[in-house]
Amino acid sequence: MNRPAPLLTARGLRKSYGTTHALDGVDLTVEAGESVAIMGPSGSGKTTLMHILSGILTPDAGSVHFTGAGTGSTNGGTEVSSLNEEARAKLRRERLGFVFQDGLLLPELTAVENVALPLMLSGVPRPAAESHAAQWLAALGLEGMQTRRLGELSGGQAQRVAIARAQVADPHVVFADEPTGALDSATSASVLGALLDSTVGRGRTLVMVTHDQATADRCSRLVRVADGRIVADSAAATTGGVR
Amino acid sequence: MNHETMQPGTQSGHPGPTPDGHLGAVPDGPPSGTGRGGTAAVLRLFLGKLFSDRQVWGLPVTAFAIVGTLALLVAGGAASFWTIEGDLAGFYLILSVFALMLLVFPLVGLAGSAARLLARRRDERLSSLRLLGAGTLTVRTLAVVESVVLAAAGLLLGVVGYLVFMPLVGLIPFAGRPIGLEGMWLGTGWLFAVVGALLLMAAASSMAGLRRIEITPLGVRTRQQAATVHWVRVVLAVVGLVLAQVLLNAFGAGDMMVVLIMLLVGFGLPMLALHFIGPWLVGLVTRRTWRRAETAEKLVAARNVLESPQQAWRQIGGLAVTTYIGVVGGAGMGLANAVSAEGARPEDLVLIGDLQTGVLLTMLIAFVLTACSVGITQAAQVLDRAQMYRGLGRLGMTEPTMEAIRRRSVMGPLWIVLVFTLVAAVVTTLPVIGAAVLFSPASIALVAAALVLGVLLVRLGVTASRPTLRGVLAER
Repeated sequence: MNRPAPLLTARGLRKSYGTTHALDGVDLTVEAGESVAIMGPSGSGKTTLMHILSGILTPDAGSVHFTGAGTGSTNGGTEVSSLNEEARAKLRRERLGFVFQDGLLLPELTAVENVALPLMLSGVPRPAAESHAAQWLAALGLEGMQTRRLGELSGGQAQRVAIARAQVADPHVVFADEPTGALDSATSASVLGALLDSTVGRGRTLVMVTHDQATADRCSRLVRVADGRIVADSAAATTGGVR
Repeated sequence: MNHETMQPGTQSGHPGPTPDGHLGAVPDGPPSGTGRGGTAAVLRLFLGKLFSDRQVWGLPVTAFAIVGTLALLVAGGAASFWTIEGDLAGFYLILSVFALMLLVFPLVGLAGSAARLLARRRDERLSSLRLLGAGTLTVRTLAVVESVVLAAAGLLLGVVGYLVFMPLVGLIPFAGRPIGLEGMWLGTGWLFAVVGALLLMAAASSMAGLRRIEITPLGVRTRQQAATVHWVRVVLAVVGLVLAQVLLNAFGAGDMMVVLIMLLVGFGLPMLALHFIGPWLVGLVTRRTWRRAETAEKLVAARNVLESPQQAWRQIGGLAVTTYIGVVGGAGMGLANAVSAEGARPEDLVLIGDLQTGVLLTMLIAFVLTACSVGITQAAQVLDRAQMYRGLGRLGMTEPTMEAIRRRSVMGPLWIVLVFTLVAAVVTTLPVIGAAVLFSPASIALVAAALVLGVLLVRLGVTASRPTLRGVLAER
């Protein structure tokens, strides 16, 4: 079978906070175009896993290999866990997108300024950055709301702004941490639809931490984490083992 | 590893993606950038927003205005002693340096409270920027420039406050005449030096807080790193001591250097030591209060203090030494005044009166500085914990109860400091205080009145932040 190349490959990830083992030897492969839901009880290590995959945290042991165009490595890949903080910041800025439960939007900035921020951090002039950001806001149904601030947006609208911000630099993979956790069920379904359409709908990859089974059911793959280990992986059904 | 295998499409399996058509026309690829941090553009964007929201700039600017006014008035008052001429010029010079030494901790405490206001909200914003991939240079530059701009705006108002209050403070008599406007005027050079030092402190404080964000973008959000800023206080104390020596050199009081070094070592080192022991003392006594707490207010207030005894001490610790000196000096000078009332030279009586005024004034200024610091810190804490206060309101906790908790959180440690200091004063100088009670009860009454006034001022500091609490509770 001709399988797509893995985008992210994690091997033997371990991470402890004091005496608590958040991750205890995790192996995981994420392929381009997948939407992966990571589920598990509170304290199971799912958020730590996502933070390590995305270069926010570094593991105590193990490695994360990211394969993506323009990651700067000659063999077409980057060892995320061995990068220094500046290099990981650059990777997050240019190749990864993030959507968090509370959006992490900056309240003093307008919607379009928030979305333009990752581009400006990459040195794009403000007019060009805002113009591109406005197109993303329009694509997500927020036309005419560019100059609104966080306080003037509903929860669902604010999350759409966060999705636009995650997409604006055209990242290879978007990491989402409970992106619909603070929304009612109708808004949640709509925001999740926008997130899926803007990522896997365009051939990009989505890695999402969620508590919600209905949310996880809309992803192409479900990974269950408990006590710092992967205990179930729906992809195993098609590959004959855990990837 | 024991992995459960799930079949797609079965009950335990996974249904898979369901595209919904929630996306309009997507733009082409992003415009290309220089690939570098874009610090200047981001800086312009945020500086442009700095004064657009009063919730962002209101409190820090007000805090630095208060810091600027009080620091300049204290410096101006101290400098007025350097212009006194005659046989006692050197003595007055020593007094001014001694008073500055006593006030350095309350002043640093107040400036520290104002500087921490700059970091409020900022940490989360900078963590967010770090998550988005902002480089170290961008984060550092933004934090420092924003802090310095806000502090500068406040200090500009502080200079205006200094000029407005100068005539009032100038009415206080020393060396037989009021200080006057001329005496209170620092001169342009010293004025800029004081403002510059405060600006430097704002920038340094801003940089110190940044270390937590730079370790990991989630460091602040997940509170993994404990705040470690104590060394800043030690450095500032040492700078204060060195500055005092430089001042003396500048004013040609070399022959008094031995006396001054004895003063600095004799009082400076115990003061520093006290500031390391103080948090432990506050924690020790508050733990007893916590164990015996029978009401919700007492329990929560004790827990608030125990959460960070260092922070509680930071607010009121500066009062320990000034209160000690105020009590001992006030009683002692009152006694000396009473005993030498007959037959003493008029200039000696003036000097004794000045010493009495000086120690009481220094104690009161320390209380004023502490009250301002408390007011600023309390307002910031209310804003930081806005969600918690609203949640408590929904649970049925009344505003007076919340107010009582906040008051106890400040006044509890204050009483610990005052009782400890008063007991220390009585134990170490029992003959002086005992004689003052017998022969100069008026001086003891004056010291007691100053202490009561000081306590009321600190309580007023807490009350000043009540409108902030009401505003927070009124929001949805």
